Amino acid sequence: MSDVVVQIEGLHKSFGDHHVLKGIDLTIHEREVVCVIGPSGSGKSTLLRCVNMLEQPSAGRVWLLGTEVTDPEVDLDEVRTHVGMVFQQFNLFPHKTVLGNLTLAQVKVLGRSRAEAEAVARRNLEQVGLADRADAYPAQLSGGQQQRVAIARALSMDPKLMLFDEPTSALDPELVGDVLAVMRDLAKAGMTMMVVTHEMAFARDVGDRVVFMDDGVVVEDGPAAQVITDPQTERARVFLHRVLHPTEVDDAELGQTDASRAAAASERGRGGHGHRPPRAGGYGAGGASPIKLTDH
Amino acid sequence: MDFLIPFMQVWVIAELCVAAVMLVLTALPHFYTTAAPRTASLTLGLVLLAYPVGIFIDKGTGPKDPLPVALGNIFVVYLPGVLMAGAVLLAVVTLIRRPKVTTPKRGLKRSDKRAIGRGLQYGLFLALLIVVVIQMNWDYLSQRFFTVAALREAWPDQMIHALLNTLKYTLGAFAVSLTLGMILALAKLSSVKLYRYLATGYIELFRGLPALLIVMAVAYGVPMALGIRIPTLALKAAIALGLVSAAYMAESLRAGIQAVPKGQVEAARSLGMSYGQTMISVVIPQAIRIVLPPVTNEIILLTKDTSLVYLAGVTMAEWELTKLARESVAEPYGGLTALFAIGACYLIITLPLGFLVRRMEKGFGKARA
Ligand SMILES: Nc1ncnc2c1ncn2[C@@H]1O[C@H](COP(=O)(O)OP(=O)(O)OP(=O)(O)O)[C@@H](O)[C@H]1O
Ligand SMILES: [Mg+2]
Repeated sequence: MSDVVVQIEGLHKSFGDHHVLKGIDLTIHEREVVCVIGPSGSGKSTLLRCVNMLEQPSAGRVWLLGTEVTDPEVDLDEVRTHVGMVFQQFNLFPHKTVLGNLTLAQVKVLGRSRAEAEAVARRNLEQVGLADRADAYPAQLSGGQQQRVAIARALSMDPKLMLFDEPTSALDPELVGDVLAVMRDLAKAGMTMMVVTHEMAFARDVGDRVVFMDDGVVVEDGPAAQVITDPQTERARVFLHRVLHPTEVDDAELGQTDASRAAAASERGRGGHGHRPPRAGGYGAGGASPIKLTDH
Repeated sequence: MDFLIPFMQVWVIAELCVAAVMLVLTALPHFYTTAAPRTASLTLGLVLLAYPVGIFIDKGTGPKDPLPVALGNIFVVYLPGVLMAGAVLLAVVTLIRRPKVTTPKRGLKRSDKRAIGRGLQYGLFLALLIVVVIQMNWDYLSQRFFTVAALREAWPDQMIHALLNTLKYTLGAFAVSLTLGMILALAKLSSVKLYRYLATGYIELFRGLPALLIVMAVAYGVPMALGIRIPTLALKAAIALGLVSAAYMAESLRAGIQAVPKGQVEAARSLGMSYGQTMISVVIPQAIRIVLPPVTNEIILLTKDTSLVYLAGVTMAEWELTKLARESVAEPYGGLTALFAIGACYLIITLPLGFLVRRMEKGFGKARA
């Protein structure tokens, strides 16, 4: 068990009487990249936020790096220093420069000297390809640059685990590749990662495992390529079809055969609007199309 | 100055005539072809109309002294003359430069209507100002408000002393207000119910009571009730005014803290920062930008509230501006000049403050989206 980084047992979470997570069991080992996919509202973000206790679970236990974080006596701040988190909305500190963003917690929490913290910060900025923007303010950066700074900020704490909550969902399509490239490099370097994403190509090619969630439970959990290209459950099949072939989705019943889909196609244009298109569906997602990750 | 009288009659009639012509020309749909001269014409018409009106209703304000007559020469004689010349010039130039072939259009253009509306606003404002200036009993005012001799006693030593006292009381009260306000704001946002109730109770209480009452309570009530002697007046002022101001301050600060996005706290906590570190390094610096305007407002209110300090019983060395003004007005030949001077002193404090805050807000712009 020494290489277990995250262990979740019987995790439940309710907001009021809204039961969002309904018993999750999940184990993540060292150097593993686990991608969490699933429909909107299925509880992916909530699960991720329960891992570093930004949300207090209603029931169940969570261990991080051998420490039980659901234990009320645990020093959460200490545990969190080993767990980096990257948010959909970047959440950079707008009143600090890029360098200030990267050094703040190093100095305040890890007690590093300013010089040491800056050296670490610059090394991480280099790694995400933004060494020249150290003195810029977040507002002066593009979304893609901001998200890479956010990743560098998390990395500056030398985490053992990185959590990503839809890190590319708020980005313009042409900026997504830069961020994914950074994440891919990170995975290659052996970082343990838990990634909530709608980028199926990324999940397939970079992920070791893919977890498909629906309605607060883990429906499917297996090797990345298998879950993405050959899902074993009907729910996963329907979801993946909608994400990978968004133009073929219409308001006829889901999961139908080609024939009935063709019949429904005549209504297309009027229909289909009711569906929320999966956000990243159109982006290099087609199962057959080659994945392209821009290098920085 | 009697020779002015028949001349004035001619002058007034001329003004009325030119005003009438300008107003009629403005109303003609095709005389002015662009907006600017039309606006100018309307403004000139209204202003020239205001002079005669101002003079005609100039009754019963007592004998005129050299000052108003001199004023009359500048404002009532020469300036309208220049304006009339300008008006005639405008009309003539417009007439000469009119395009040969005019394609008649129905009614006024949209831009013309806008120009007329704008011109009406400017014109009416100027006209009103002129009427008031002509109407004002300048010599009475100057005697009551600008008799420098009345200040001789207070100027400059006492006044500077009072100004510094006012500043001292304000800063003391502000320090109390900011500290206590911050504690109350955090208490109101606390997850502990008791803290929230206490903070709410405090805020409701001190917002509802007149500051005057609190000053008296701190000055006389507290020493009697608790047997504590508050040593200096400055401290009494700081406590009393600070207690009141903290209630308002707390609400402003709370709103500012809540306006910082939740994601900022989450990002900081996910980096392992404690609640306190997050507040100090992430939330409060951002909240400060948001609360800067309401807090400035609070300082300005405090500056003025220091005038209540006299209720605590002040020695002459402790006079602040308003107390000095009250005493000066009571002087035998004082008049109201002291009030005017003291008012100016308050502005000396508050105006730079507003300026400073605007500068600071601009400085923050860089870190904004
Ligand atoms: N703080 C909260 N209070 C109340 N309900 C919440 C809260 N956070 C999430 N929920 C609810 O929990 C459910 C799951 O939310 P969650 O954000 O985990 O979904 P998700 O799978 O991440 O979806 P998405 O793909 O849209 O991000 C949603 O119905 C949401 O409305
Ligand atoms: Mg989510």
